[in-house]
Amino acid sequence: MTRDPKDLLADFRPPSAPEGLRQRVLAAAATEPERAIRQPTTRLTDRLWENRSLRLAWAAMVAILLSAHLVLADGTRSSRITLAGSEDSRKSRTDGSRLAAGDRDLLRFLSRHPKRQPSVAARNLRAVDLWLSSPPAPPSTPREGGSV
Amino acid sequence: MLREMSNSAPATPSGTKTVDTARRDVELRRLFVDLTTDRQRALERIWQLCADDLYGLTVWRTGSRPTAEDAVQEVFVRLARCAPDLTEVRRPFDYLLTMAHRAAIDAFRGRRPTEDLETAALVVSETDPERAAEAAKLSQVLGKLNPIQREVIYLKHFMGLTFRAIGTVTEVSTFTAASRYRLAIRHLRRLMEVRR
Repeated sequence: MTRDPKDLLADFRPPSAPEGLRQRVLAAAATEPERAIRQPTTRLTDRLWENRSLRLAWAAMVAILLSAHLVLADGTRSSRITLAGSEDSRKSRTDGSRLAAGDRDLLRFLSRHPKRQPSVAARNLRAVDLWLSSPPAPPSTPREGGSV
Repeated sequence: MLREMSNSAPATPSGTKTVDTARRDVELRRLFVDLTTDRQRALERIWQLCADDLYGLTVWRTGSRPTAEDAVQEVFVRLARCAPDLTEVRRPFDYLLTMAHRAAIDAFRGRRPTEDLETAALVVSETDPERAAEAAKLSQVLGKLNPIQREVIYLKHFMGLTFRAIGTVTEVSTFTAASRYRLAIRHLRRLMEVRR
């Protein structure tokens, strides 16, 4: 046993099957019942693809999503425009009403406290400028016989 | 099996036999189909072709003759039972070796824990009776190897399989099969040096 294992193995061979084993094995195999032929299994993806109701549901869902996207996207755009427009108009409206209200309050205040005019101008310069640049509106006086 | 088909085929220096694997696989494929129609004749022919190789593999894997016999019987029983599923097998011989590999593992695990494994004659020499003693010594050395490593040596040297085919049969990667073989030869060499 001084040779290389590879060379040594080449001189021998593995044992053969014993004679008695053949009869025993073949007898055992002959009595073994054969399993029923297994049906080829279809893949899950194929079954899903060939399902008509599922395909219809998928198509309906795509249609719903597309239409919803179109409707909602259009609605959002128009509402954005409306919102933008309303914001501008509301701003101007608010400014005007604020100015008008400030005007009225200022005039009312000045008529009551004429000596405190500078401090009031410092607090509300914009209203004061507006008031100075435009002739002050006469204080609203209830008309006789009319409603306020 | 292949012994019958390769009687005229010379052994390579590494111990592997040059066998007509294509012809063998063609015949086995046809026999697998015949199992559903003429089971007994097909099984007998498969026995003639493969019994020795399957038995050798199971003996080398389990290290025990009775356990190996049980494993070979299990292979043929499964062949008979699963005949309808075997018509699509592409490499019938590798398939049979895989069945034997699994059956050997099952039989080895299924033996009684108290049952001692015998040291089976893993190699024999029929041509030269004087070398029988040397074969017995070599069998003892091989018996000390890990069964997994022993199985790889058997598949490489006596079946002539590639590492890729060995990986398929033993259900490991090609690199694992090659690594196991390299370790097995190194281990065997060390054992032989100790014995010397």
